[in-house]
Amino acid sequence: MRKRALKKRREELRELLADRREALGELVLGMHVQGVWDDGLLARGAAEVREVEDGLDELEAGGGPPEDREGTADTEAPPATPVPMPEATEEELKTEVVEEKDKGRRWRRKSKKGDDEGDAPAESDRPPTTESGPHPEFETAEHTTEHRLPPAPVGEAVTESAAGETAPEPPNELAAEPASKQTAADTPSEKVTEPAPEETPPKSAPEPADRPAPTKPPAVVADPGADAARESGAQPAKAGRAGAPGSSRLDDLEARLEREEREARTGVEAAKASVGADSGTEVASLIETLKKDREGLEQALGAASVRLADADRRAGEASEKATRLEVENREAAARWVREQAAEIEADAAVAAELSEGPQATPAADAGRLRELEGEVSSLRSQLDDERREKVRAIEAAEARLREIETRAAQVEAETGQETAGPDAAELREAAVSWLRGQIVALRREIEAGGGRDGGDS
Amino acid sequence: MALGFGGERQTRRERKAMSEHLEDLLDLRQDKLVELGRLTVDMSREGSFDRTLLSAKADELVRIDSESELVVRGLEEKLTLDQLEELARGAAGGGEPA
Repeated sequence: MRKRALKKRREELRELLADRREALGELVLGMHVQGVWDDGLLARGAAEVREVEDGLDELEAGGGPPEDREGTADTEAPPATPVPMPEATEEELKTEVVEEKDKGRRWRRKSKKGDDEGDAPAESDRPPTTESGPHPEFETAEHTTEHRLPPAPVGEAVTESAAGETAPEPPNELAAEPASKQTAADTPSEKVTEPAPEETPPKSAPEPADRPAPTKPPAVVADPGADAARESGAQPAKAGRAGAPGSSRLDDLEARLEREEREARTGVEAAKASVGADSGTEVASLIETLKKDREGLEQALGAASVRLADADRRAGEASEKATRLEVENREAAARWVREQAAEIEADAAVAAELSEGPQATPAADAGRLRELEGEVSSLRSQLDDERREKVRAIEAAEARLREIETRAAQVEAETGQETAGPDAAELREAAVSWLRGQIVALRREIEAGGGRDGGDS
Repeated sequence: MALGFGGERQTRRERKAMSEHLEDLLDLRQDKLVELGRLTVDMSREGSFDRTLLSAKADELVRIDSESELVVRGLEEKLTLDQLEELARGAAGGGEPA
């Protein structure tokens, strides 16, 4: 059973070692990722791993199956000799473990001083961590249940152990209680001094409170008499243990393992606390960074608002300038229109004055004169045409008249020979006279017209 | 976010290969972590920490983590191996698989 427990213990330590190495690797990885190296934290984590390594080395050096050993433990460890453990010796060890439940710290100090005798774990000090969970050997009937045996069976066991050359054990309650120290200091001086463990018969076994605890720390008992009794009682215990060297060694190993485990757990707790502190520091740095970022953002926001206000002001100025320019342009356009209108009015007035006034410009007079000369020339040409037509008409009338006279002479000649009468001659004379009168009137009219045209031109 | 590869679907064989590769990567990561812890303990025994060596070892872990994330993404988004390779080349850039 012991070998099995040790083997189980070793397996757990190996797992713990692997977990711690992995955790340390995670720590290094985190530092690498964050770029922040903390040698102190690394050293602390490495120390925790080393503690487990040392515990494992000790365990493997102290005993166990040879096939489970590894590394230098094979050369350093003594040959594992399976020692048959007497029942009484195992009971003693278990009882000591129970006794030291309340004295874990004292035993840790004692073990640090190098006193490995009776070194036992204090399970009451073990923190309820997850790592302590997978340690079932302390909860099995092999340890836990048997440790809680009532005092009476212990007495029986003591009786048996006395028969088996082992020292009697005190009960836990009496050895641990301060109130019972006095009684323990009083009674051993009377009772324990007289019987030597080797000589004490089993039947007359003293009360459990009277028996000295071989592994009890000296600080517990202040009475010199009790110390003397303890010394006298410790001798048989050592002698009893010397009779079972294998069990004592296993006990030492187990106690050392428990001590290492406690230290390792304490280290784990310290590491967790340090991790918590580091995370707190990291959170604080993050908060600080966030504050700085926020301040920077606020400053940038303020600058942006200032720029925005400046831009708004410039936009307003530009708008006002545009409005002002538009008004000026309108005014300039209206002014130009007014000037143009004034010029037009002035031109119109000048034109009116020119058209109404007596003074004519030489150019206008020349144009007008040319128009009049044209009209005069056209009228003259018309008049010449009419005069030529009248001249032709007169010439035609004179030719007609001479023809008529010629005809009339011919007619008179022809008609005089045949018919001579006074009336015919007279008629001819009258016609000639009328014709002559017509010609004269026509000539006068022509002459009158030519004289009037010549006076007009 | 899906990649948007059209028409190609992850086969069962590819998914199995990715899962196995992810398991290998996780085992490798654990081994590397333990190795890194052992190395740190050795350095602590010697009294000084070689940050260059620690950084080199940690960088290997970072690359393993990157590849693991990539494979996990391939499993979650059901990418094919070709798509995953394309994604690795496009996203990782200079990174090389562990």
